[in-house]
Parts: sequence; C-alpha cells; structure tokens
Amino acid sequence: GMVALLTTAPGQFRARLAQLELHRLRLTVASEHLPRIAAMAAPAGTLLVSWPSRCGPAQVWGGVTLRAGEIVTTGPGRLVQIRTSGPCRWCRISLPAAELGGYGRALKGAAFAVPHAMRCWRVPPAPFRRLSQLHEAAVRMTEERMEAGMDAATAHGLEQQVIHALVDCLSGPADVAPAAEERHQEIIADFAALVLARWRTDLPIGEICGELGISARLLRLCCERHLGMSPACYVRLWRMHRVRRALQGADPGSTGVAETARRYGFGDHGRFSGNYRALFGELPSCTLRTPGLAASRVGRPGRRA
Amino acid sequence: MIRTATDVDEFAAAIRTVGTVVTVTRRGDFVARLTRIDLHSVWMQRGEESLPRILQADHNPRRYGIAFASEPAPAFLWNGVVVQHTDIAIVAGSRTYSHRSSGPQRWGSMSLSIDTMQEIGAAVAGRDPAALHQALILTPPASAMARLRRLHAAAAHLAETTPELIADADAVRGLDQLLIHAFVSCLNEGQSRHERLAQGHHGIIIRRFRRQLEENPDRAIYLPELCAAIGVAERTLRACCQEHLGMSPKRYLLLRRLHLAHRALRDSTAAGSTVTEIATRYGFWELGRFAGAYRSLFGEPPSATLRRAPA
Repeated sequence: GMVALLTTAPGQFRARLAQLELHRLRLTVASEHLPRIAAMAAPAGTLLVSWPSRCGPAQVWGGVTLRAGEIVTTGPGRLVQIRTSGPCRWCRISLPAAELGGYGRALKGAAFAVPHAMRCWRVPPAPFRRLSQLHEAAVRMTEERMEAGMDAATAHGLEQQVIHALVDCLSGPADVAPAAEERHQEIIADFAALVLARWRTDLPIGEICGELGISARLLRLCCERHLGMSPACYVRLWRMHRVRRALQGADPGSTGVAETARRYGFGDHGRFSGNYRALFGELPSCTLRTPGLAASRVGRPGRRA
Repeated sequence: MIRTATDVDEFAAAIRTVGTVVTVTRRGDFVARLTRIDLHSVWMQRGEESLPRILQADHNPRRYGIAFASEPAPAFLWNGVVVQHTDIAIVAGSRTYSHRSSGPQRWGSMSLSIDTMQEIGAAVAGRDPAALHQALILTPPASAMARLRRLHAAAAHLAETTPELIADADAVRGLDQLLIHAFVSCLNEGQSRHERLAQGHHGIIIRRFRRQLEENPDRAIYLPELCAAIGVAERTLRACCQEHLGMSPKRYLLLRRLHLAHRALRDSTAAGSTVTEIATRYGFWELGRFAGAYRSLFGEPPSATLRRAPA
C-alpha cells in the first residue's frame, strides 16, 4: 500500500477508509480530506487496481492525469507517486497477480496477460460501470448492513464477480505509455528513493542530478509533472513533514522548536515558522504543545470475511 | 404411475432421466403433471407443465427414445435445434440433451431398449440403423405422426382410468405392439434433420457444463470458476449455451441464482435470516435491482417470500 503520504495544504489530514477483506481480494474505498502526494507500491506478487471515484479535482498517477472511467494497474516493485489537488475519493482492488492471471486465461484464453509496472486503461463504459458499481455496492453493503461479517460462500461469490468484472475491464489494450513517460517514472522513482534515503543530509540539486545522471532541467520537468512541484520544494516538503512528526511525538518540556527544526535542516527559525504555518495551518509551537497527537490514524479497521 | 409436482426439484426427480437439471424461465407457479407407464418393451411418459423451462439431462444409453409435443404448440429447442410440433426429437446417441420449452406445454415420450431396436431393425426397411442413431430430428408424414399421438394419448388415458387393464399381460403386449408399429412407421417414412456429429464438440462442453451444475446443486456458480473447471473460454461457452439453452451462460447462471435465492427465502428456518443475508449469499449486492428481478420472476418481493417461511 502507501509508503509515504505528504499533505500539501493546511489542515488536519483526515481520511476515511473502508476495507473489505475477502479470501484473496481486498476491496477499498477511501475518501481523503486534503490534497497530498503519496507514494504507493504493490506488495510482492500483488496487483493493485485503482480508479478515482466521482468527479473532483483530477488525480495524477505516475505523472498521468486520470479521467473518469479510467483505471490504473500497478504491479509489484514499482513505486508510483499519486498526487491529488483537493479532497478526493478513490477505489482500489488488491489481489494476487496469479489469481487474476489464472481466471483471466480461463475466461479469455491464453492471450490474457497480467499487466505489470504501471498501466492506464481507458475502459469502455459498460464493463467499467459493472466493476465500479459492484465494488461500491459491496463495500457499502458490508459497512451498513453486515456487522457480523459475511460467510465464506458469500465472500467467494463476491470475489468471483469482482474478478470477472475486472478481467472484462482489462481485456482491451492498455494505453501504451510512450517510452519517454516510462523513463520519467523511473527518474521520479529514483529521485523519491534518494530523498527517502538521504533527506537528513544536505541535498543540493546539483548532487541529486549527478547521482541520477540527468540534467537539472529534466529533473525539474519530471517533478512538476509527477509531484506538482520543483525538486527543491519536494525535499523541503519531506523535511517539513518529518519535523512535524518529531514535534508531535516530542515532550514540550525537554524540546524546543528551534533546535528540532535545526536538526532537520531548517536554520532560519523565522522563515521556518512562517512556512510551517502556511503548510500545516498552525505554528510549530502549537504542534509541540498539543499532547499525544500521534500521526493521524486513517479511517476504520477493515471488516473480516 | 401418475404424479403431480408443484416443485421443480420434485419434477426433475420424477422424470425418468439421469442427472436432470430443470430451470424455470418465466414467472409463475410451476405445476407439472407426469405420467409414467412401463409396458412390455415400450416405456412411455407424458408430461404437462405450466411454465416454460430448460431441462438438461443424460440420456440412458441402453434405450432409444423419442419425444414430441402431444398437441400443436410453439416450437421448442432440442439441443439447440428448433423442433416444431410436427417433428419428433430423438433421444439416442449423444449422452446429453437439453430441451427448452417456450411456454406451457404437453409432451409425450417413449423409448425402446437398444436390443428391441435391433430386433425390429429389419422392419425399418431401407434405413441404415446407424443413421437413425445419428439423426436428431425426424419429420414423419402427418398421418403417421397423428396416429402415434393418438395411440400414445390413448395408452395414457387407459392407464389412468383403468389401471387394472394395464396389469393384464395380454393387454400390455397388445398395446406394446401397436405403439411399436406406430413408432416404426414414423421412423421409416420420416425425414431426418441435423446429423449428430456436428453436435460433438459443443455437446461435450454442454455436458461438462451440466456436470458442474449437478455437482453443486445448492450453491451459486460463477463464470470464472466455471470456465476454469470446464476448460473452455467464455466466448465458446457462450456459443454452446446460446445453442442449447437459448441464452448466454451469464444469464443462465443469474437465473439459477435467483431460483436458489427463492428457495432459500422460502425454506428459511433461521430466526434471524434477512433478505440481505440471502441475497448476498447468492451474489446479489444491489438490493434494489435484486428485488426487481426477483419480483419479475416470482411475482412478489423477496421479503414477502421470507415472511411466509416456516421460521
């Protein structure tokens, strides 16, 4: 699932997550309150199938702006950056790649292949409707009317229907991303990995470009498309979120804002406070004072099958 | 033996076939009347059903049989082939068959043992016995057809009104001979249609299809697992089902699930059962749509059926 989530606008991040665990599939419907960048990767052997639900500001998946009726599949091993620009709602199915492959071939013949890496699908309206309506109906029904959970037969039946709808959606051709786009995704994945590993140290753009083997211009281009901001802003965003996390967990008696900020690379206290407030909607001292605020818990626990 | 069934499962069990699966395709109360008479060589059945249905069964390889509409009626589908009331459908050779009626109907059937068929083979002059086994549909001359129908109806009437006559060995033998004679006339002079060989591949698939249904009489079945179990792609299965059942496998499985849900609601004994529980168990996640489809088929909302349950 999600590896890192960075909000990009002020406010307390709130999300509502409804998850339905079947035998081998997991269905998720999520609503999020704030715009954010999140990195997502599928666990080994698992395929993630996601789509934005309802109208709302467009969501950008791996640099690709998703429109209504489009689906994204993400295979294991690829870290994808997902950027939203406002409150959003999305649906996701997680299932073993082998399961999809087996049933896909049973239904459609040997030609069916499980998609790998990241693929976007412009699905015809009828199959898409079948998948999304079934998904939403099942999650909603479970939440509202099935407190006791569901029995094995019911779960199996739902799994079968979801798999069938999914295979129908993925039977047409995927949008073939031009080679350039694939390359950009790789660059962003490398960049994000670099930041993840080395954000504590000084990370001048020149050094980043040297490590990635690309020009500053290309890096900037990729970041704007995938992350919606410049590389320097992204690094700063990352650090800001780490400071916030540190302040949330710190003891106000023994820690000060300024020294914490300095530890995370923010020397100019005045400017830091201003930027912090612009991003999170409160002063860093306020974060420090609020007791026991753990990193925001996301949504409700899932229902067991 | 005469039996009236008001339940599809009762009916399926009563018909002299093996592995019978019956699916009703229109709303209403299914009532069926079945008469079975075993004479000396001839076994006969007459049926009367109130609703259109699809019947799939295995044919007994030791018998050679025929089936026909016992009065003028809309055509029915026999292994995917249209059969008019002027035709006879042949139940022999391929081990599986499907019969889809298009409305309430009255039908008759009769069969002889393969040995008897061989004995009378000489009488069926000018006909290659093998060809008789290959044919699927036979159109006898109108007079021969009418005679067969009359005799068949008369035999049944006799059995119902004067059962002691049927117990008399001589009377039985006499009736037997008359029927065989009428049967032979039809075969002799009939024009045959649709050689069975063409049915081969699809026949195998439909047989496997039905086997899956039989092995899971109480649970819902879905296309992914079905295609995996049969070993055929959805597109091919669709062609077979359109032929034999007159509808797509998806539609058929949906209809079947509706019937299973109906049975579960009707027979519910658990105190806390809800429509939601039963609907979702049989794969219906949009309750509004389920209620609509249910009502179309059974004439009442699912909640009404549940209210009447023994619990």
